[in-house]
Amino acid sequence: MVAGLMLACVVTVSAGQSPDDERGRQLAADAYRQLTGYGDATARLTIIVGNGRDEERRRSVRWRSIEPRGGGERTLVVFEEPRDVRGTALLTVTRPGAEDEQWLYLPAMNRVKRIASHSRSGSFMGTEFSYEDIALPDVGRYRHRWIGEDSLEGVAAWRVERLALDPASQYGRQVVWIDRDHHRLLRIDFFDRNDQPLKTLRFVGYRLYGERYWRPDELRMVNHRTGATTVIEWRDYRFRMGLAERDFDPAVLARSQ
Amino acid sequence: MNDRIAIYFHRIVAHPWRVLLASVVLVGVAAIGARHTRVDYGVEQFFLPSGPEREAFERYRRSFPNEDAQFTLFWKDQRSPGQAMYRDMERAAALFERAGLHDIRWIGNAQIAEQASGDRADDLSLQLLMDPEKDDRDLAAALTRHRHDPLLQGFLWDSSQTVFAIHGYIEPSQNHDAGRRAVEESLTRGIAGLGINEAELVLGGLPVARSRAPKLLAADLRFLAGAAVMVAALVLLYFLRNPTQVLLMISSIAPAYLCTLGLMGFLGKPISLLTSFIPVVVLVIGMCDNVHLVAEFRGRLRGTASIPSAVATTFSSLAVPCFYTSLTSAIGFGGLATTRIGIVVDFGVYTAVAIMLTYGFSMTLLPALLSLTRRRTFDDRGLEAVWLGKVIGPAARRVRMGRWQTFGLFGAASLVAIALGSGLRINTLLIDDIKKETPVMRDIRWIERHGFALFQLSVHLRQTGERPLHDPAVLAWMQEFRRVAEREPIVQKTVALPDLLTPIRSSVIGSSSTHELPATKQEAAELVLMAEMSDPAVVHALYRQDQGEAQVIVAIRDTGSVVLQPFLERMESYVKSHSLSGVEATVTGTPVMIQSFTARLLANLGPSVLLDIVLISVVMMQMFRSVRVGLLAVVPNVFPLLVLLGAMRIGGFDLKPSTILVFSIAYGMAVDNTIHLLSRFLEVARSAATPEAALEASLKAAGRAMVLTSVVVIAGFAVLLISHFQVLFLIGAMTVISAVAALAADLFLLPALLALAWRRRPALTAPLVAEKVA
Repeated sequence: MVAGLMLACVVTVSAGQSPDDERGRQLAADAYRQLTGYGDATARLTIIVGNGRDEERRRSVRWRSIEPRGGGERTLVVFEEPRDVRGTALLTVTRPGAEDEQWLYLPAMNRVKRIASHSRSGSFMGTEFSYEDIALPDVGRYRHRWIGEDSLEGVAAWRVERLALDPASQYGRQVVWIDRDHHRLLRIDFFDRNDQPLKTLRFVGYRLYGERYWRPDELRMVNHRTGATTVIEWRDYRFRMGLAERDFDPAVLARSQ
Repeated sequence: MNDRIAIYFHRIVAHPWRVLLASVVLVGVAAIGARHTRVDYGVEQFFLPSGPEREAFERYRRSFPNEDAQFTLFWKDQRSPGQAMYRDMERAAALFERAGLHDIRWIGNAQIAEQASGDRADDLSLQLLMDPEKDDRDLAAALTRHRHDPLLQGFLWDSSQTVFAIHGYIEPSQNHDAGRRAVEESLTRGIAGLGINEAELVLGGLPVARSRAPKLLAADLRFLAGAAVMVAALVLLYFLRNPTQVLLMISSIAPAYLCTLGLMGFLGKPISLLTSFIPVVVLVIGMCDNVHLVAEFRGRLRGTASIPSAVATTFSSLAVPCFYTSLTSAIGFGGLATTRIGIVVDFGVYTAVAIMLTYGFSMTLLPALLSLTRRRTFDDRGLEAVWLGKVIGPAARRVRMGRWQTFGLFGAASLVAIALGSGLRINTLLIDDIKKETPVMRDIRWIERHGFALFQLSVHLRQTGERPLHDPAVLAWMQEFRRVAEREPIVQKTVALPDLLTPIRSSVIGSSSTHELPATKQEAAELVLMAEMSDPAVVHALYRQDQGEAQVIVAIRDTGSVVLQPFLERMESYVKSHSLSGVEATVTGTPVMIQSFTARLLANLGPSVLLDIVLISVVMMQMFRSVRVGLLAVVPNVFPLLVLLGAMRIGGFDLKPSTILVFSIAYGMAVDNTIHLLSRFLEVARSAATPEAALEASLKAAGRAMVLTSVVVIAGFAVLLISHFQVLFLIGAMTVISAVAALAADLFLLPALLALAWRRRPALTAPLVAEKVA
């Protein structure tokens, strides 16, 4: 009976999906695969937030990430600049099919706090990125549809539309541009619930690391409404450094410096 | 000169069709320019164009552009807060987004940082205030728990949580007259379409008031200006009994306004709140001269062979006095240029241009049009009305007797007016000149009554040294300033960075003792970071860390400049006397800008009127080639201004920027009749036996036209008394009062002064003028 119910679900899902939906989902899955399977990695990030009026602020952070055995991802961000928040650390734990969890270490107050139920539409560290934007593009969180082919700055690309299944998502839809050759994300156009352009994210300067991992040098987000921008510059990418899951335990956050 | 004038008018009447054609071409060209004229009722035009206040304000607005950008829907629901209200508010919030507003704030997306009440003591909840998945009781409980949150009370709800608010901010690039109107109209339509019967919904906020008030004024002005023209036309019709002449008089004024509009269009000047009054001014001043011209024309026609000849002699006779009446009025308005406030300068200059253009058309188009008329005899029962004689008769009789009584009477009236006027208050509201019973004002008072603020001023803090503005010493300074500010009755609430940091700190520490400031700079920096993680827009509305700028918001009531000005002075004094090293603090904001505009304008009122009086006196001296006459002419024109001051005090009106408009109109109008009477007097004085005889003859000749112009003005402007706007009501009431006062002064005081002056120097000393005006 259980098998029968499962079959019914599969049939129902299949019956509701067009070939374009299936193709879109497949392309999204390929892009997701391209971003995963790295084991662990470290990098240094400079986050430049512009307000659209020739003013910008910079944050420097160290970034570490690991793919734990049970799937998902654990990411640790440790602030280096500005100086008076040096050592502040944010640990984000993503598990398939579960809510993200976050812990924050505040050195001046010597506290580790678990941040409960953070809205995914909230801003990531005061940038134009939301937590929804920086999360791994887990295929199960969206409904996809292939909408065409195009080229972006000379690179042949697929265009896939995705709709977030989370009703709390701030977006009505997103159009993702995926490189045809390497399944790299090239660009994402975000639309609000009135289908008005809201933001555009570009992935700039891809490099191949360890002959396997394509990673961009920069993520450039523009908010079309406010003109505000955020650029995240990645450097010193290192993969398979032998990081352990225990390095990403909330209990050791205070020692993460 | 006189010959040349006469030749000019003979040519006009000989070739009326050429004049008409030239006028049509000119009006056509003007129409092209007028099509490019846009309407801009933006109140920002009232701000001082330069100076330290403006620079500070612009600096502040670059960092904190939301100060005057907030649209708010106030929501008083009959239902208890719960799912139903939440869903309806969600629909309304979507309207804000569709209208293009950003940073939409309402109870549905407010982020809260608090110690989580779950099973883990170290949990910090950074989450939405209201979870729509929860039931009504939980939603109500969440609201109750945060009722007195200093950031939310007075922003998202009132103190009793019976009125809620949805806020959205217009983009700085759209925060102009047209942009505000588009959003306001979109929201008004959308809210009406929500079909919510359980709640009282009031759309408010500074941009809403700035959109609705000028629209109401423009609509009022359109209707009332039209009605004033109709009433004036009817009055003229009663006196002249000739629709053609009335039509011609109005027709010769309209092109002047169109040409002014065209000029503004070509020069890229918008129609502002002030320049929208030009048609009214032009109508009054143009009509006064035209009445004199037509009355004289009809008088001359009785004894002249042909219409063209009557037109030519009439206009040759009055061209110079009319030129001077127009010039003096133009000087009166042009004097407003001394204020150096763009919108006021534009009003003064373009009104002056319009007045001179009106003169131009009165001296070209009107004679051409009159020369084309056919009738030679007119029904003069209106002009010869008995009651007109009853007004002029006593004036003529007073020339010979009771002169000192006249001086005594006018002197006493002036003294009383001065005494009353000296008690006038200078007081202006931030949203002013609208009657209390209008929907705009009702909404504003409703909003204030429920504890929300429409206006705010800000202490703009800028880091000038090493110390960041989240340093505990700076935070303590903010708290102390707020404590001082909140003692003021005008202040509704204050908001500053500590309001963000202290609740997060107590949540992190797990202490119930809230409102403790961070102990160290590092601690404060971490709290700022956490606040940014929770809701960066809220943080950046108060603190722009990387730019080293912060603000303390002081929400205030619109209680008038009588209260606001001393309050601002106290705040500025506090900020100066409690300076912090490495931090520059400036009190700024829209109220400061409005206040500085008002102060500048009122400070310039005295010198501006004085300059007008001096210039007009000089013009009169030149016109009459007599210092004595120039000085005498000032007296009857100052009298209506004094009466206005007294009447304002009795009527309970305060001195404010809009009052200046009334004074200018009153002066411009009063001086016209003075010039006409003086011209006539000097014309007949050469052949008269005594000054008294000359004055009697002058009053009989020009008196009826003087009374007639006053009656037309009074009737036309009385229509404005029904306006929704205090400024239009004031213009109506004050113009009526000043018209009566000016007429009284011209009929009684001026002849008495002239008789006295000429009695002492019996030789009539104005041959040049007499020659000129003859």
